[in-house]
Amino acid sequence: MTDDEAFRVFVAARTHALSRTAYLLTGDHHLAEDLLQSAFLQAARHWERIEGHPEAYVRRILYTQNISWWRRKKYAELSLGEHDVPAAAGDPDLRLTLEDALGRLTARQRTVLVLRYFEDLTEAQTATELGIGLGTVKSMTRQALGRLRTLAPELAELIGVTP
Amino acid sequence: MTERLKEELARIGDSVAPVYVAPDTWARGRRARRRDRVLVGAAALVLIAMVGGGVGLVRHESRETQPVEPADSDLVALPSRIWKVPEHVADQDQDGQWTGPVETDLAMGPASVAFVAAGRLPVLIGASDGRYHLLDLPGWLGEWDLYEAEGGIGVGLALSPDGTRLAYAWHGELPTSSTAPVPTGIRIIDLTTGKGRVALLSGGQGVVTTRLMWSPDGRWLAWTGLVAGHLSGAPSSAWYDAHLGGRINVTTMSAEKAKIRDSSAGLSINNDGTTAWLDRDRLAVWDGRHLTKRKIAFPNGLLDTPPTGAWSPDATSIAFGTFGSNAGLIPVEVATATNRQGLLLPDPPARDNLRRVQPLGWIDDTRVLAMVEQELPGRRAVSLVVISTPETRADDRLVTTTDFVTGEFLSVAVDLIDLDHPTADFPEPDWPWSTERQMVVGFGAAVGILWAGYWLFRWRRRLL
Repeated sequence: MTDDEAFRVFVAARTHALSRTAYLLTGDHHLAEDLLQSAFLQAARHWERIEGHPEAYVRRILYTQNISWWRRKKYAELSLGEHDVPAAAGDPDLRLTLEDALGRLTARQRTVLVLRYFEDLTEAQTATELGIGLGTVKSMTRQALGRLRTLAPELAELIGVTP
Repeated sequence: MTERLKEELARIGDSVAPVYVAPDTWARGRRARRRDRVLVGAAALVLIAMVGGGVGLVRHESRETQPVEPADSDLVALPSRIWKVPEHVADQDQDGQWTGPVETDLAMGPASVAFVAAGRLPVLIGASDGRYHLLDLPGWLGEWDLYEAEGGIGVGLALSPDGTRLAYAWHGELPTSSTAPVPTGIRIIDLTTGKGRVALLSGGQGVVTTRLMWSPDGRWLAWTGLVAGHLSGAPSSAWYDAHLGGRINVTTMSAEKAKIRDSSAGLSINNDGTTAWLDRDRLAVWDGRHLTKRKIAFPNGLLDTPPTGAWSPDATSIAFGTFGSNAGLIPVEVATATNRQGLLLPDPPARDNLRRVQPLGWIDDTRVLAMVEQELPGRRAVSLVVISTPETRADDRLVTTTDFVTGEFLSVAVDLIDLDHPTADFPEPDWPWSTERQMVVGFGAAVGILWAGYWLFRWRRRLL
């Protein structure tokens, strides 16, 4: 299999899963698309130098690029609206409240929460992925959960006590 | 308990449709890789050439922007074209320092245009020479990363109608205690003397001014802002608790505050300090003591929150701008809160595929200077257009084109427009070279030196 074919197979197989992560990181379908597209482009650019599975490489770009984009303020424009995908089973009100509250966290807080509670990484793994200290991950997780609790008290049942 | 959080996050993730990945991603990635290699090769050649002392041909520009043509100090005008400031000039490095040749001496004379370039760098264009001044403004709040909590907020920067003063959102020294509020407010620079004055705005941990609008005579300044629940200057750390608005008497620098529903409401102020906010279909008018609110019925169910409005010279109406395919100017009569003239659209070609129309100020009783954004095929166009009211309908005039993709942060000295000679042609600024350009020129120079050396070698061998 050529590099070109391997890349296409990888993109076809992992786009759906990576789309979920990109959406949770950005909270916006269009930004998620830009973020994932940019990560795939970087993967294509450095394909022969990627050690191990390319998904880990792409995921790391998603995490760090998301924070970097917000810092550099490339997105001064507001999203035009929610994308129109069907809602999954569950409590839609709670989910919308959670999405709204997540959108009001800082990019770093949101990224840490996604890594810890969606990607199921340990604190140490999260610290490694983001290139920050273990203590920073702990304090940021605590701050993010606290802020969620402040922003949306109805999420208390979801969030529980601060770890 | 956080198991529930995991489940809800998983449900949100499951509801997301896969994003579209362009089929040429691989090809573009590989092209970028080839460019990387060429640049590395060029860099290596330049290094070799420099070690050999043979890079005299490599021209390294001074980091000063070059002055444009000699200026006639009596002539002040808008530029016929506004050039985009390249990103490599308008960015911040990792230490928060501007990468371009910024100026700290603000006594630069009247300016015609102010805008915020990529990287949040404030820029003024000289009214007499068209020269671009990249500004290192003391306490410029825009250099902080304040966008996070609101998903994208602007930071106020506005040029007075006569172009002699610049107002901007300001912050003072960070307090040593993390719980103490950050001093914030609005700073006004006199561009003749370079001196600044501050009107402090207090509330929460500081007030971030998001929009500024001068009265037509430049004696008042209206503002909207966000009261910060947290503000530290650290990247992506600010969040906001409340919306605020108000006005500043520019003569005394006294600030007054009013509680408003939304800081993104359309903002305008007239010569007696009466301030108005248009928040969707509600017009709030405030004279400093009394606040009256009236509901407005707009044609076609308009409108979305416009950033600013412009009071007519007779103070009877305010022209607001709108967004989207219904973009245009809506003059609203203040006394009755009615719109009798409907939507004013610019003439073609500025009418095609409109995205946003934003009034910048009235030129006379019947004409408004407006920023027009268009979504044209393959590109977004931003231009300055003079739009006439229907009563004395004259041809609309496109006066200035820009290289921007959004005119949201554009402020223009409207008084400088003379409709007989609305603009002047100034040459494009001679920006400092980017690293890539230096490499390409260096590569060309190195190849030239090697080529000349080769032919010199062959020529000498023939002589021998």
